[in-house]
Amino acid sequence: MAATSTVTVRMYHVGFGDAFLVTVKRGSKRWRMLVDCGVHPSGVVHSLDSVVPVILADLADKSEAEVDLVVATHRHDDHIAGFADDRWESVSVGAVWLPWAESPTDPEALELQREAEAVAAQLTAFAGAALDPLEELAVDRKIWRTIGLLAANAQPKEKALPRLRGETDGFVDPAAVRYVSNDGEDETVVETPFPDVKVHVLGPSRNPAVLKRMDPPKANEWPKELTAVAAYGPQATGRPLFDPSYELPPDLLKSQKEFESLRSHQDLVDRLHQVGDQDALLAASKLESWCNNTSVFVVLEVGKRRLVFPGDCQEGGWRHILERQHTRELVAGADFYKVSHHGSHNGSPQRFIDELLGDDRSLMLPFSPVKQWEKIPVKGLIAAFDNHHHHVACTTKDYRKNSAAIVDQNGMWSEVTV
Amino acid sequence: MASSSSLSNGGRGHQEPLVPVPERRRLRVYAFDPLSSRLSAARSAGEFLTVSVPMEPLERGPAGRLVQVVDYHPPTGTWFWPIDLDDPNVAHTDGLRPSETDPRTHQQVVYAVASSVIERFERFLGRRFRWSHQDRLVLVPHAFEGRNAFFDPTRKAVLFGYFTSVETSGPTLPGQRIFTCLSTDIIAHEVTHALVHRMRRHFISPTNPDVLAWHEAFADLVALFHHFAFESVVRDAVASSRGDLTRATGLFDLAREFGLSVGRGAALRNAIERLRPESGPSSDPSEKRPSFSEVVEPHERGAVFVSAVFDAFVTSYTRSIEDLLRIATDGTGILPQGHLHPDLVTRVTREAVVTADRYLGMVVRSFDYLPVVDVTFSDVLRAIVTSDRDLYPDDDAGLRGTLVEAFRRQGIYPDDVASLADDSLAWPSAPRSLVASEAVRAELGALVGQHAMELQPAGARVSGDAPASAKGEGDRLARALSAWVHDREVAMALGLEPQPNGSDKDRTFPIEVKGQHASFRRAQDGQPQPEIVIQLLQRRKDLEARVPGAGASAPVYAGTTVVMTMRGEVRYVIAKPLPAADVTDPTESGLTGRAGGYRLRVLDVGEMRLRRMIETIEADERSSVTSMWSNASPGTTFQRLHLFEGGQG
Repeated sequence: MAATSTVTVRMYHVGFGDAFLVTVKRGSKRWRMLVDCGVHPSGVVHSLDSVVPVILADLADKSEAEVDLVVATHRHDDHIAGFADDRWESVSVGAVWLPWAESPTDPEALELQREAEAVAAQLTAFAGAALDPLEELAVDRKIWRTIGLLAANAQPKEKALPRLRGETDGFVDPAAVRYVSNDGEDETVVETPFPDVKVHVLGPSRNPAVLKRMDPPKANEWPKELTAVAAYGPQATGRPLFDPSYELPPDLLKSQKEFESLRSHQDLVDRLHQVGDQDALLAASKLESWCNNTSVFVVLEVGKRRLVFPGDCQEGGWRHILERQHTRELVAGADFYKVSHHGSHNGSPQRFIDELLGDDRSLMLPFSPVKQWEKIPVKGLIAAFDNHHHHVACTTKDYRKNSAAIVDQNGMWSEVTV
Repeated sequence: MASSSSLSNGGRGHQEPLVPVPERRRLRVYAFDPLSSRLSAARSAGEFLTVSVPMEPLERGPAGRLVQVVDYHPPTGTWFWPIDLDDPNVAHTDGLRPSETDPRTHQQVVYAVASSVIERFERFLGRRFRWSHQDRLVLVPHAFEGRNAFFDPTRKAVLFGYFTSVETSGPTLPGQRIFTCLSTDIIAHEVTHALVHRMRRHFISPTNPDVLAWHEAFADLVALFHHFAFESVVRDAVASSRGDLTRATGLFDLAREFGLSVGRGAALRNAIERLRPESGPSSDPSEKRPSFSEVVEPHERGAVFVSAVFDAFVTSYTRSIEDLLRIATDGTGILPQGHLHPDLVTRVTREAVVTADRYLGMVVRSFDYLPVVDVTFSDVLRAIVTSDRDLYPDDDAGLRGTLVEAFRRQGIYPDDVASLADDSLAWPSAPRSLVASEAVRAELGALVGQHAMELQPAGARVSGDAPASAKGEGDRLARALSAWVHDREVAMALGLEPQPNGSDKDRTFPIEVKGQHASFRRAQDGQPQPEIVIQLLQRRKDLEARVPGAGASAPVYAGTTVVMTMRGEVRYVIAKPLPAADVTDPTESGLTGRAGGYRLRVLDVGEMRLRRMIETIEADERSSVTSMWSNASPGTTFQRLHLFEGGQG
């Protein structure tokens, strides 16, 4: 056997978002994979404008900037917004992987994109109307801001997606674009220049049964008020229900004794105005989870070492991985784990952390605080990391634990050697 | 009645004999919903059904003793003219003719159906129903635009949505407005949620997978059995199906218009779907329906329970008409071709209605025998058997046995019982020595008297209010009960945590008396059987650190339902215990023999219960779509539950 390879993972400190560069080196040869490049607009630590040049400089260590493989796990801003930057045009990229759901030709994928975009547009319009200061509705603004954020995150990026798909002048040479999925034993394995380095694709599934379990978004199954907004604009819910002659004039309601008991319900009337928000929040959260669960899920195998990159996979997507022995074995006892979904309550299944991953592993948590999501990272997960003596690198200092990571002197990244 | 009032007049004057206030008010509603009404126009039942509800003084709204309709439309900020059901022009014609375009008829429909559901509850429970703080349940027929209707516990209101149909091929028109407040099934379902919430307010805390499932199952059962309250509908079903009700359309369908208009191509749920072996698109055995133990989603789990009850109903009904069929066919029991004789239809219909009433009664009556918190289907089965056995020890018609067998067929077994015989299924009797304190016993008579007084129909009462002294007496009883249950020995016998240092002044683990009532049920011998039911609740702050998310807004409770006779002899202790605060050997604390053994067993069950609670909450956290994004309050539980209906496909 030749000399052993070194494997490093560099996490760029974008904030609440993912940007990871993996480098495998042996002698003078190296192979590199970039997993995502994006940040959530509400959780920026270093702007993409400042991080992208750092990434490009890292990629240009041998004159021209180049990378062997770009994995764009899913369409959310906090994962791909960075590819909107035109400076990527100077980078040569060997291959691009996207989830199957982003394919511009697959009819099933197109149907899903149409549905997701319709729902996101409806939610955005509805949130816009609810937050419009001229509207009289007594709304819970915090909930609506959350809905607006979630919907915005799901909207396709103007330039990022086309670049990754190779529809526009994306990179130096047209990269080989591949829309990946995995449902069977014959999972996708990509060979690299090194015989003992492989990339395994574990997910997403495109099996309708698995997808159904994850509650795919369908515009016509959404609470009706949202689709009405799409059809008739944000004022749709203001359409009169009955002939105006059935309306009780407000002055009569106020003055007549016979309406006294109705008047006593003013408090109820105020609160009735808040009915729609839970429906919309549910729709927005479903949309978000759905997209996360169709994340590209890869395991990099270097000799005996395994590195797990699950994207933003949540419960539904994980089940697909953990239920099959073959894929479960690939994540069990891995040496490195990129914490899924920024440390949310169902990004890292308990049975994976407590029963499969083992102890004393190297973890990277791409997180910085976002006001609306104060429950992330979830406390139980952080405690579980402690219990298992993991080494946790994080953008936010408070969550770093026993980390052996080197931190860049400008704070732009941290790096671990696996 | 008129003669009795002239007697009391004693011939003193020339006053006209009193015209009695009618006891019933008749109101027209849709035959299930506007769509079904339209489709059934050819049937003898006609387009509308008439509901008969107890006469009560009404304000405009309508607003009565228990329900009030508030027709406010938030999206436009408009009030609609409230209906006056006492207007002679309305009263003479059994209410207004229901119409989708007149909101006042919507108010009439929700009031009528809600009142009739509540009346049935009162009849089965054997007592007058009351909301807490003498409140009324608010019904908002046009609360929001959306494919949903739900009971909101924080607003104490049922909110009905309306929406535009998406169906393009079925019997509803695309773009047609569908009002959930016009569906008898949806009203009955949601009002039942409200009633259950009043009787067991902790049944919205999903401390095990059955709790919400039971809420749903019960609401569906009441809504479905309500179909049998309309004799003309049952008659049509009997005639069209020649007595085989499982082949009748509509009778076992829940919310047909709703289901069709959201593009499901069928009713929202069907009570007997699971019972048909040929149902489903494929007969592939690998697509076999999941068994009860595999189903976790509340509606689906509830559906299994509902199926079991209807399975039993169909079996009992079929048995009950066998003799009629033999009489009608010279002993062969084989019906000839063609229509049934109208007399036979009448008699068979009667059997169907009576059997349905008996089964719904069995389930509703069991309510007093349910635990205070953390209910399971196993508890429900045991409560049904216990309450029914007390009233009908012999089970002459075999209804109870049929129900137990139907549950077994659906895979619903009680935990921890030796056999499926009555004696082991019923809750175990409390030890004879367990008798309420003298102070409690002294107050029980007043409680029974007060509840008896309230049984007089509202229409005939001088004043709608309970006797003025009742409140004070209720407080005295509550104080006496509180003192009694805080006694160390009593608390332990009731499966609750005793106070650490044994003094009844110390209240480290206070026990709340959450409900006390007397009910009168008609037993097999035809006599009313009074019974006292007390609900006790104990918060266990000391255990909350072990339960994720627990705390002031989601406390951890132990609870016990105590059923006693009028003389204060405890008959049943239906406990949901929790582990002990400090685990000491019961023998060391002076408990020996039976009491010590009981205490040990209680703690064992408590530990298991706590573990399951933690597992359930963790599983829910992992799978819940919104828990990351919002602190879902209990107020949104039903809304979330029902939202999934549209997406269930």
